[in-house]
Amino acid sequence: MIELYHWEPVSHSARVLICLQEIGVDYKSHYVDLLEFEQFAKEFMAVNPFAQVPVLKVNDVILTESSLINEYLAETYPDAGLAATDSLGWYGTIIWSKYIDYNLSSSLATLGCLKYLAPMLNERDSGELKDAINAIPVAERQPGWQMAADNAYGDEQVGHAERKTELAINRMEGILADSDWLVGDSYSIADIDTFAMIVSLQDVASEIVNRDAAPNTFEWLDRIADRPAVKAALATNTKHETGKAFVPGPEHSRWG
Amino acid sequence: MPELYHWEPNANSGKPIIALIEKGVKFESRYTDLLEFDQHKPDYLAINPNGTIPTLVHGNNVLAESTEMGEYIDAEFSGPPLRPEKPEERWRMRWWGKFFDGYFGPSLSMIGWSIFIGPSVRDKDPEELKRNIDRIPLKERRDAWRMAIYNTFTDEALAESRRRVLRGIEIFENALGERPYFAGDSYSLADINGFCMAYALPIMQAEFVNQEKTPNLIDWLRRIYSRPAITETFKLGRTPMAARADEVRELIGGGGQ
Repeated sequence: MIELYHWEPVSHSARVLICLQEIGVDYKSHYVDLLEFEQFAKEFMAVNPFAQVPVLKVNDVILTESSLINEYLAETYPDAGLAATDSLGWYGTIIWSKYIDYNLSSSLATLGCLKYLAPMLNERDSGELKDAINAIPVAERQPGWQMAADNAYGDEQVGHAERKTELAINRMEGILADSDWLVGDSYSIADIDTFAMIVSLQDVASEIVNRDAAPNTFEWLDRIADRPAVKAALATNTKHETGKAFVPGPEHSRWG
Repeated sequence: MPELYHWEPNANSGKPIIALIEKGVKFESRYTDLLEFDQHKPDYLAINPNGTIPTLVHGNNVLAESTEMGEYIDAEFSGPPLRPEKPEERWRMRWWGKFFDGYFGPSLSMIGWSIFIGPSVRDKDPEELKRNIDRIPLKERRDAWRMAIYNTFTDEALAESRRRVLRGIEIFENALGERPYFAGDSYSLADINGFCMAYALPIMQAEFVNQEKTPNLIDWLRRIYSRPAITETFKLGRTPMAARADEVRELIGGGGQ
């Protein structure tokens, strides 16, 4: 049996929700409410000690990290044709997803939290929130939440996220000028992994990600958004409007 | 014949060197001296515009991501497989790759750059150093070189890096208690990548990595050190970094010479 622990269909959770829909495999859904800190609860940390969603559970095997889960799914369901199988094509697919992981994931988290999470947290009781953040059992994760709680995003932080987004968009514009898809000549997990970020960046980084500045990227975005599997995945939202809820994500690289 | 541009058989450069030798692939070794900024010179930038090491050139294919390069090498060349058959073990191999590259490696690297790379180049002519830094294509790499050369690491950043290295060691020790190799029952790219980061830990972090405190990690290191490909790999080293391998072998009693 396949089970998926996930949050709203945004960023990392969206990647795997889309991939499962594309493959057409049935799964049991476990909604983990990240805004209620359920990812840090004992029950969930027994599933993933790193306290992150999504988690794919296949029988008794636990798989984490959204881009690696999608690589697993692409390899396990080759008939879905979601990744190139030749050596160079596979290399191109996995380095692209890694590039997005290191550059767009953390940028989207910063910009998404600035726009949606910080105002949400502002309405909560500050004492309770502080206690909850101090009780986060994974040390690396406290600063991100603290920053959102204090709405302390500085120019440097936001500028860094915007610069990374702009660099990625410029790269995509170049690639998509000559090709319909990011890697090779067909739709792949590289497109899924990137779409899950860009679909939200057009909202939270609209100065950079817009139809005038990035026409090729928008045509690509439209092509993907039209897919029935993608529509179905984005419609699995539970407590929030799709694309309007974010949590602190992976930190920006600490060392070159 | 594939050409590999690499520096010391260490960290990122070590990964494809070991993978190629394990597969029995003959390749042209192009030693690229990081301490002379060879990787930022025009000839090299013409091959890899990002100015990072290593770069693998195979026919028309140019590959510059060291972890994923291993998958290409394994898929492209015959020889013993370096990726497990089972999909979940492949996932686990990649999970470790991500953990090494995203968590453990950067922290260990920050410490390494503060104690080795920075001091190794600091005595060069300041104007020349500045010119060398200005030529680096990636902003993140420019920032890293400046920090190493001018020693502007903050105490907090170094302390956090040390904390993560120790946390990483704890995670390695637990994982290697569950299975003999990082991905499962067989040696894979995860072990190659892990070894490139961990091979000197018994002397660099002697207080925390030793027979008594981390028996699983030491046993695993012994198993990897005993592989003939590892002995071949360290022959490509030219600095005292590679000599640490002999010191570790002497200390933990690993095979090979």
